[in-house]
Amino acid sequence: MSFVNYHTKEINCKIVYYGPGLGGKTTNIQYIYHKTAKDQKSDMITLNTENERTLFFDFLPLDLGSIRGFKTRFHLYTVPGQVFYEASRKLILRGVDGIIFVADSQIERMEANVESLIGLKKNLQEQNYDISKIPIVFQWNKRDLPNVAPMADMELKLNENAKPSFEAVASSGKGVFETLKMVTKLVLLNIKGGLE
Amino acid sequence: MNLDQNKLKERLIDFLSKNQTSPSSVLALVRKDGMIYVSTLSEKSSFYYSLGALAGGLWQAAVSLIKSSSLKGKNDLRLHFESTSEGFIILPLIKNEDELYLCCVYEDMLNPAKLRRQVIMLQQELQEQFNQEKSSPSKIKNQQKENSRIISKRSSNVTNSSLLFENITDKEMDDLFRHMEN
Repeated sequence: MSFVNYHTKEINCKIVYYGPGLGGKTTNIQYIYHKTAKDQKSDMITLNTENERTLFFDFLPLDLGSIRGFKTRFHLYTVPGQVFYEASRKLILRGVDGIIFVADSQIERMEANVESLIGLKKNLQEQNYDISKIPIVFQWNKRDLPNVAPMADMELKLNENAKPSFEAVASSGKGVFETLKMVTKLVLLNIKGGLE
Repeated sequence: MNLDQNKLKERLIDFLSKNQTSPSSVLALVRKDGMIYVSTLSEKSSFYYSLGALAGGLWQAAVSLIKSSSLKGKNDLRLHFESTSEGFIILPLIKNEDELYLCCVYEDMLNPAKLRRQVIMLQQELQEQFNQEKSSPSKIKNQQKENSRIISKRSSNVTNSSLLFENITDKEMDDLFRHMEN
């Protein structure tokens, strides 16, 4: 849940990168970390297994600057993608304001994408979120590989609500900031003007 | 940071000072989503936000871990991890029906057990304070007054909508991201 402090005019929001294992969630926020000026970021936390797979989460706090006098701060998290880390994914989704679903474009990973999306819907429902209403952006990652599914297939099988989507090659940075910028905009537009 | 948070911060700084902790020791109140509510650390510290994310994640992971055990239902839980001189302790608090975590990370302590005990007493003190604030009629009245002030200020400045931003232009988004993608 976003945290708006009207006294100090600060907005804090939580964005979660969700998707199947080895889809490129960590690569996304590593790229953002390396391309962000020092005074706009703090240290990135990665809780990994020995073979560099996400164990609990990656975390990157970003200060994006001000909009209409409100200072904005975004906390980026990734979930562990491997199937058996479902409990961790549920925890990380608590208080989420926006989601980037990072799908692996390779044909043989379509089933894993679908399974991960079903898990996301279920986990959101358990926390009384509706996937059709929460700010969400799809990223079709690894578009540089030879065996990718056509974009139309990705949209048809994964993006049933026609949410914004972007092609990406996270390892080279293609599509990374476009995706983040879109979800950031959706999150800001979704902030209720209630009291802190 | 509002007045309430400033007072809390002063109390946390005072606690560390009275307990003669090392300069690198930290005390913070963390929200359930991992965001810092109050911390003795400067916002400029690279550990400021990490502390919130880690403490929030640790507590919730620990609670999930014991949900199937016989500890279920106990409300005096605490989480600590330590060597003979350093470690951390996390304790839960409820403020206005929201869960907060009191987290103390300490180093170079001759008697960490004594410090932990003091942190538990601080937790009790803060919880009593939060409970009193919740039930105090004058506090409620002041809060209602402040809320009305903010509502009227907002409605005159912004719009009648329930959303903070009615629309955001592409230029405003580009400005937000202007220091990135270098």
